[in-house]
Amino acid sequence: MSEQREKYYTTGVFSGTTFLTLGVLLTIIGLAVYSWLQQLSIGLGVTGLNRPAVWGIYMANFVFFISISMSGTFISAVMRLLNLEWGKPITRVAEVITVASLVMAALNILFDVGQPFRALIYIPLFGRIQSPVGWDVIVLLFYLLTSLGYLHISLIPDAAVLSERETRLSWLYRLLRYDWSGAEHQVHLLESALKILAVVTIPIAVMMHTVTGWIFGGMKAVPTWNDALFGPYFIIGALLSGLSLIIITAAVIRERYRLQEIMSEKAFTNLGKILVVFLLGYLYFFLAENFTVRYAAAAEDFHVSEFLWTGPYSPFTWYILVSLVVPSIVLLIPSLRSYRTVVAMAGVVLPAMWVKRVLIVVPGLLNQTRLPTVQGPVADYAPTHVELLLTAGSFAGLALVLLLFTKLFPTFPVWEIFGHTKTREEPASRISLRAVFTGWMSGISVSSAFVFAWAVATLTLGEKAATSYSVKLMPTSVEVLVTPELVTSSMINLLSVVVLAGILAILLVREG
Amino acid sequence: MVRWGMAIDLDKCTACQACVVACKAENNVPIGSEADQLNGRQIAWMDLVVKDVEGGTVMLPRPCMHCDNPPCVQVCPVGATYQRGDGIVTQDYSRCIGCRLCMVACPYGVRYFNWREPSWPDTFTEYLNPSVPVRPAGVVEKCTFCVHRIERLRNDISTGNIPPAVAKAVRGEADMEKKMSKAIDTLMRRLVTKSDEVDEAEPEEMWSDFDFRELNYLPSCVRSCTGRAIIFGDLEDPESLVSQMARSKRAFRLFEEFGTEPKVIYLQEGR
Repeated sequence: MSEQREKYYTTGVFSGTTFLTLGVLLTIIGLAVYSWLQQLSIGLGVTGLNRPAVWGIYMANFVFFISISMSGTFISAVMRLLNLEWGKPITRVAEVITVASLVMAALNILFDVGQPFRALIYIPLFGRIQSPVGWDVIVLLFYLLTSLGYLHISLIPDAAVLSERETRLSWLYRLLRYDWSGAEHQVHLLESALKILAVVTIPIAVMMHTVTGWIFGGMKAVPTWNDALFGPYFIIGALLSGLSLIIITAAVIRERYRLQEIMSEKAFTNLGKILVVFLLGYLYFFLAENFTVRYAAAAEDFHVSEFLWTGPYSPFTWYILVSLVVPSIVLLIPSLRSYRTVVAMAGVVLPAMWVKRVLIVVPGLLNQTRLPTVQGPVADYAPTHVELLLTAGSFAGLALVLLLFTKLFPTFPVWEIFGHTKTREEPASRISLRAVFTGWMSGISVSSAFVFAWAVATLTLGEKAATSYSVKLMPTSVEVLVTPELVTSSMINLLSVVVLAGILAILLVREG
Repeated sequence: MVRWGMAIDLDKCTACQACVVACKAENNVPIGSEADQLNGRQIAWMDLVVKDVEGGTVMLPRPCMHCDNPPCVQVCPVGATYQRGDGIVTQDYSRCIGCRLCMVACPYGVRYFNWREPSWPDTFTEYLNPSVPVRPAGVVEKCTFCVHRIERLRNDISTGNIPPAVAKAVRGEADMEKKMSKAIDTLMRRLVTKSDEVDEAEPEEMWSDFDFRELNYLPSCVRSCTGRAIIFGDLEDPESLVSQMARSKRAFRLFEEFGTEPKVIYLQEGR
C-alpha cells in the first residue's frame, strides 16, 4: 500500500511530450501576448467589433470561462459534502480548473475593455454597486478567494509528504505544509475546514453565475436579453460546460499519469450520469427559451429567433442542438455509457457550449438596430485574427496552468484516497493549520462585511455622492481623489478590506 | 431647476443634415474613413435616421435623448457617465474604462466608442474646438447638448459680458437657473423668428440689438438647422418655446415603452 502510495508523489518529471506540449502552449501564449500588445497600442479597432456588435467573442469567452469555473469548486464541494468516494480523485482537477478559469475570465474582460489599465484602477476606486459589472467583480473576487482557500487547504497534507523528499522544490512544499504532522486533531480540523469552505462556496458559485447572467438579463434595450430566465439558464449551462471540461481533463490526466486504478471507469460512468441530467436540464431551458420567443414573442425577439434558426446564424444553432441531443441520447442508453463514450460526449458538448455563449452575446446585439441611421450601424460581425489569437491564448493559458500544477503537485488528493499518515519529522513551521484556516475565513468574512457596508452606504446615501463629484465636465484626477464623498461611495473600501484582512491573517498566523 | 430639452419639428426638417455636420465640427468628432463607415465605426453624435415605413420613408434627426431615467447611467460601473442637475446626460472621458455596457443598455444607439485614436486629415487639427476635449481611443462618447456652450452662457451671465438681447432677458431674475432658462428661451425665439442672414422683409429695429455671439450659446445643431426645426430650451418652464411645442398634439417621444423618459420630443409630420 505505502509503495503504491509513494509512486503518486512523483513530481517534477518533465518528459519529451511534456516539453513539446509546453512549447506549443507557450507559442500560442506568445502570439496572444503579441496580439494584445497590438490591440493595446492601436485600440479595439484591430478587432472585428463594431456597432451594434459592441461585444464579441471576448465577452463570450468571459462567460464561458466563468461557466467552466462552476465545475470546479462547486462540483468538488458537492462531492465532498455528499462524501462520494468515487468522486474524490477528481476534486483536485476541478479545483485547479476553477482557479485558472477565473483568472482567464478576468483576463478576457481586460481584453474586452477599451482602457484596461484604467479598469484595474477605477473599478476599485469608483466602482458602483448599481452596475452589473460591480456585482460581477465582487462575486468573482469572492469566488476566487474561496476557491483558492479550498485548493490551498486540501493541498496541505500532500505538501507535507512532498516536503520530506530531497527535491529542488522542497522549500515550496515546506512553505505550504505549515505545521502539518498528520496528528489526529489536525486531520479533524482539516476536514471540518474543507466542509465549512464547501458550504461557503456553493452559494457564492450560484451567485457568480446568476450575476453573470444578469449582465445580459438586465439590458432592456437588446432583443431577447431582457429575460428572467438568464440567471438559472446560466447556472445549468455552467454546470454542463464545467462538468464536460472536468471529464475531459480528468481523462487526459488518467491516461497521461496512468491513474487507471485511482480514477475508475465507474467514476466516469457516474459522471456521465450526472452529465446527462445536466444535458436534459439544459435542453429543457433551451426549449423554454425558444417556446416563448417562437409562440408569443414581441416582433423584435421573433426576428432574432428567425436570425438564429433560419437566418445567417442557423448553422451554429443547429450544430448546438445536435451536440446537445446526441450526447443525451447516447448517455441515456445504459449499454453505451462507458468510459470512452462519456469522455467523447463531453468532448462533443464542450465546444458546443462555447458556440452557444457566442450565440448569446452576438445575435441579440446584431439585431439591435431599431434606428437605422445614415452613418449608422451595419449588422455584421466577424472576429479578426487578434480576437482569435487572444481566445486561443486564454485556452492555452488554462492548459498551461493545469499542466504546471499537475507537474508540481499530485493530480488527485492522495490523502483522501489512502488516508492520512504521520509525517516522519516534526514540522519546523511556526504557522499552524488553525491560523491558515482562520486567515482564509477572516479574509472572506471581513471582506463580505465590508462589501455589505459599502453596498448599504451606496444605496442609501451613495448615488448622490457617487455622481456629485463628477458634475464638472472634466475633473482632473487630483480633484477626484480629494473629494470626501468618494470614501463612502466607492470600492476603495473593498481594497482597504483586502489589505486589512491580509494584515489580520498575518497577525493571527504569527500568534499561532 | 432647469431641465434642458429639445423639440424637433419633423414638418420643418428638410433632412439636409446640416445639424450632423455642425455637430461633428463643434464637438471635435473625428472624420471617419470609408472603411469606418463600412465597418459600422463611424461616430456621429447627431445622426439622421432613415427608415422605410408603409407609405414612404421616415427621416428624423437623432441626438442623444438625454433621458430622465437614463439606462446608460444606471449600468456604468465607474460612474463615468452621469446626469447633471439640469438633466443633461454626459460623459467623463477621463473616467470611462471602455466596457461598452452603456452602448448595450441604450435603446437609441446614441453612444459611440472610439475604436482607434481619433485622426483628422492634414491641417484639420488646427481648427479643433478648444472648448471640447478630444477623446482618446478606448472610451465611449456621446452628445452633450453642447454643454460647453451652456456653461459658457452661465459664465458670461455671472461676469456680465453678455450680448444686449441676453442682458434684457435676464434682467429682473434673481436665480441663476432662471436667468439661464430665460436667456436660452429668448435666444431661441429670436433664432426661430429671424434668420441670421439679413432678411430684407424684416424691419430694421429688430436687428438693432443683434450680436453675433448670442447664436453661439445655443447647441450647434439648433443653431445650424436650416429649417429652424430644432428647438432647445427649458422643459420646466411652461412658457418656454420648447414646452409649448412639447404640449402639441403632434408631439411624441421615441420608444417610450422602455420607461427612459426621453427629453427629446418629436413633432409628427402633419397629415
